[in-house]
Amino acid sequence: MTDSDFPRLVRDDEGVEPGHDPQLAGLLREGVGTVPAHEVQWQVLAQRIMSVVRQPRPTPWWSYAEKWERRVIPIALAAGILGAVALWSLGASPSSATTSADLLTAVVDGTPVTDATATYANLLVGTADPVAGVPE
Amino acid sequence: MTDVDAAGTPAAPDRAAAHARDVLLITRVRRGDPSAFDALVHAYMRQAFQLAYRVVGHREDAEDLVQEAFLAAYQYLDSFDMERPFGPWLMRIVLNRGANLRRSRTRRETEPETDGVSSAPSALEESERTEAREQLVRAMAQLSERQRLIVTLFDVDGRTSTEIGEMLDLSAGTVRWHLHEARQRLRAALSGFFKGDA
Repeated sequence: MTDSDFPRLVRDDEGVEPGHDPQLAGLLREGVGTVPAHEVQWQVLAQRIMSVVRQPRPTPWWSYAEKWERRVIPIALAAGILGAVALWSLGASPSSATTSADLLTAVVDGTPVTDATATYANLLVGTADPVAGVPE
Repeated sequence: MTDVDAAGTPAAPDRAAAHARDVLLITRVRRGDPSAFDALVHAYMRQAFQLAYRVVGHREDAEDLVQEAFLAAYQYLDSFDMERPFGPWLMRIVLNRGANLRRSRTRRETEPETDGVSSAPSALEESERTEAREQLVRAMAQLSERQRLIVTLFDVDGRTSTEIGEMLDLSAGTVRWHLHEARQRLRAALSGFFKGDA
């Protein structure tokens, strides 16, 4: 293979466009054929493409979440904070179940019923005084 | 509308004008006017079909591929970088989808469609031609997909290295290098069929 095989040698550094190779092109054309552009009904193809393009796209389920995310996220955050505060404030006062059990235990241990009831009634309404009602 | 050649590629001086036109059309599509996309389809469908046909080797498959590529382009138009030309972006979609299509479909015909230009060749000529074609198919199979496309687009379809570079996202120099390599390998494999070659 010599350079003379090519009508114009490729010189990338000079940016020279290589000439066409008619012999090779002839063989290639027989082998791979020419593009059958004349067989294509261009207007029909364009209409086909546009009819597909104009079809409404199916809405994926997550698109609804995407649509609402700007509003839902702050609301969810606020609701979460409120819920946490509510749970914390509930957890700060003794529950009635715990108080009832403590009252029963105190009575069984021999504390006078009136004193025990007064002490734990105060605890229930949140005005508990650890000293008040305890017999000296 | 800018001038386009038979394959739908704008002539070099018109590229800037084509880009400006495409930017306007894409902006309109993004603002909710799908009819602007029709102009893009008309501007690029011939070029897209040419490349699609070279990738899949069958007219109907190529038409399907063109349709699929335009649909994908439409769906992803919001992510398209308007600083870059639309045509090469579309051609890359054609190439990528074409590779997928070829993998997923069995070819409808084993031989590519030819335009049947010969005028009653003799038995000897026909035999030589068949042999040359078979050898060419084998030689083409030795080339990379990229080199196969480049040598076909350049020598058969008459595209320039710049145009092919835009289609394949390569520099014109790289296209010329691949062309040189592909031609060398094909000529070596087909040396017996070239007139005047030893």
